[in-house]
Amino acid sequence: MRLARPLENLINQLLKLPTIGPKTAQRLALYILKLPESEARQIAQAIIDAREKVAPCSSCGCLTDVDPCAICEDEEREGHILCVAEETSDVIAIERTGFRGRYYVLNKNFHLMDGFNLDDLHLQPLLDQLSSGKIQEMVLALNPDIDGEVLSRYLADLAKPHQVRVTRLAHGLPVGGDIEFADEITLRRALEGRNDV
Amino acid sequence: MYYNAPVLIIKSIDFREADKLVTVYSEQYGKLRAVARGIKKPKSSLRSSIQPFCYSQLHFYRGRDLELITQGKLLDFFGNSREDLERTLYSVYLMEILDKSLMDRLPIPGLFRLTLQTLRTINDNGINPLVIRHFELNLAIHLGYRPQLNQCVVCGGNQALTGFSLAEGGMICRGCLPATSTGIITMSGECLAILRQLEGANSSVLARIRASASALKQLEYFLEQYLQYHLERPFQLKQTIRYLKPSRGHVDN
Repeated sequence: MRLARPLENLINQLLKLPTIGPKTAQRLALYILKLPESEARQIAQAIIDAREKVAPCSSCGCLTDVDPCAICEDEEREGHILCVAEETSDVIAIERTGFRGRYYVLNKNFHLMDGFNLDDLHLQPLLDQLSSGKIQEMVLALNPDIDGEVLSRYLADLAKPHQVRVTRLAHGLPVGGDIEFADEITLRRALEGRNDV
Repeated sequence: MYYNAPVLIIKSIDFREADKLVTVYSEQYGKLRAVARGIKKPKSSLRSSIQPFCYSQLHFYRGRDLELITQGKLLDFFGNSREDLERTLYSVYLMEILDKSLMDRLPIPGLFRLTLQTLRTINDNGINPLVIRHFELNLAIHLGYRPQLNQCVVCGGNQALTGFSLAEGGMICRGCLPATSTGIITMSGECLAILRQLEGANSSVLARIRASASALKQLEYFLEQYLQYHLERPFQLKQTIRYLKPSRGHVDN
């Protein structure tokens, strides 16, 4: 059956979203058509607003609608600790822990095998912050995988001339994890970082 | 259908919300792609078994398009390699070459053993450039691109072999060089001698081979060009290794 052209167009647009397959796209499109017109317009307007008003903060790179972002404007934060993260979603997760330092978001996914060029990271603003003398510690909050490990070592090398303490998130067993299934590196690092009970 | 196999993990990429699509290389089944469900969740027991260049025993369920990984056990994590940037980069480089050179579901048992042995050597002894070159040359041989190193591919003579023709796949003697103008790589006698030694050499032979810095450089250039010519794709990790070399100083090959 040939679908109405606008409906077909909507399905094709939804198909561009991650994890959305043809059936899901069709279901969502039909659902949107059943919504009251005002709600459908709200969804469309929310997408337009987010696209137009949200951009990386010029100072830290976090996605924000006001520049500089609320975190950069917060004067009660510890300005001497800079946390480097890959994405804003990582910042959201770290914020939940009560961390009170500042951030630098790379906004790039670094994948060794995809031919990522380290020059594409645009690290000059980070280097400027490190050379300003205000930063005493750089916390590397990158994923504990091969890509994150390589990038961490690269950033640590870059920070060396600025005499900044470079730390990274501890490796260890996750809450609810199972020692039996842990790899040797995780276990070794968990043992190194063991605590008094 | 359920089955299991010891595999090397070539790479894993994000797939759906918490899943990963894992490319593995098995001695018995060749290169496979399989879905690891829920792998990003902290409690996932599979996570350590599907890290790049791990050697793991994986259990699969054969799906319509892709395999599903149902269980996994880590056999070798190559822990020393993971603690060292240079070893990590070269181990991932081996995985990249496998990824770009192998066809799906085409087992090449000798190549599997060669890769496993090379990963173990890197893990145990660090980076010896000749170990990497040995892997590259023997990978080409396993794939069916054995270079002719003992005689001129034009006239059949075995004297004054001075250049290598990428198109002809072998050495060219000085007399035949003018007739074959394109894709010629100049090769010194030392470089040619090392290449001949690397063909089928085992680890004890490898440890005894001595090479000058210029011969190592020429060897690396030749094998990079040779593999790229036949596989028709560049290797990204080589660029990253070169990029990191000046900043770290010791990443040298």
